[in-house]
Amino acid sequence: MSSASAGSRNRGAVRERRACMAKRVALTGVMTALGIVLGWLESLVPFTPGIPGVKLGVANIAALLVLYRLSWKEAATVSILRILISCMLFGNPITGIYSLAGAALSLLIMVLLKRLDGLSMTGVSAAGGVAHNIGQILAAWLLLGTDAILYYLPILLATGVVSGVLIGLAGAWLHRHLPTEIS
Amino acid sequence: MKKLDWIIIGSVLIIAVGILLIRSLGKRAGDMAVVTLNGTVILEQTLSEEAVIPIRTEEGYNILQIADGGAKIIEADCRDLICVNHIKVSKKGESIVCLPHQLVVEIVER
Repeated sequence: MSSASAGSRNRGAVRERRACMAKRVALTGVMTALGIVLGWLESLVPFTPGIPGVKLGVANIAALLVLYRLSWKEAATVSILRILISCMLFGNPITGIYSLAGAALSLLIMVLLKRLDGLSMTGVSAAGGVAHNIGQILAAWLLLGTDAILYYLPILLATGVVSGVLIGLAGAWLHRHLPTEIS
Repeated sequence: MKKLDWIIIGSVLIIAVGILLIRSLGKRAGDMAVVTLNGTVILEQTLSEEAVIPIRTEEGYNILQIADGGAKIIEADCRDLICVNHIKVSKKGESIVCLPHQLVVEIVER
C-alpha cells in the first residue's frame, strides 16, 4: 500500500519535472525567436557608424532576460542559436564568428558579476556590453592578425557600456513587469 | 541602479575617454597605407600620390581611394558597408576595417 502511494508520488514528481522542463525549453525557444526578430528589426534601422561592432544589440535583451529568469545555460542556448540562425538567414559566416566571440565573453562576465550583490541587472548588462565588444576585438585581432584593430578599442569600450546600460534598463523593466509564471 | 553599477559604468567611460585623449595628443599624419588581407600584407601604397585601387578578396571586392593625403574605401560589395561609411583615414594608427572581407587598411609612417 505504502509502496504504491510512494510510486504514484514518484510518478507525480516525474510528471512535474517533465512539465517544468517543457516550460524551460518552450521559453528558451520563444526567447530565441524574439532575439532573432529584434536583431532583424535593428538591422532595418539605417545606422552607419563606419566602425565595426558599434550597435545597440537589442537582440541581447532576450538572452539577458533568460539569464535572470532561467539560468546561464538557457541564456547561452538563446545566444548561440540566435547568432547561428541570424547568420544563416541574413548574415555572413565571418561576422558570425565575431558575434559568437562577443557573446561568449559577455555571458561569462555577466554570469560572474550576477553573483555579486552590489550590482543591478543594468550594471551586469553594462559590463556584458563592454565584454561583448572586447570579445569581438580579440577575435578580430586574432583572425585579422593586425594590431590595427586595437585602434577601435576605446570607442568600442564606450559604446559597449552605453548599449549595455540601455539593454539592461529594457531587460530590467521586462524582468519587473513580465508575469512570474514566465520563468 | 546601485552604486557599484555607476562605478563600473564610470570607470569604463573614463578609461575610454582617457585613451582617446592621450592618443589625440600624439596624433601625427602617416604617409603610407598598408592593406592586409587575412593578416597578410597585400599592398603598401604611399599617400602622396592619388590613386584608385580595386582590391579583390575571396569574399568580394573593395575599392581603395588615395586622395588628399588620406585613404578611403569608396566602394565595396560587402553586406554591412561599414568600410564604405568609414571616414577618410590619414593619421598614423588609423584604420578602416571590412570584417566580412577580412580586409584592413592601416595608416603607418615610414
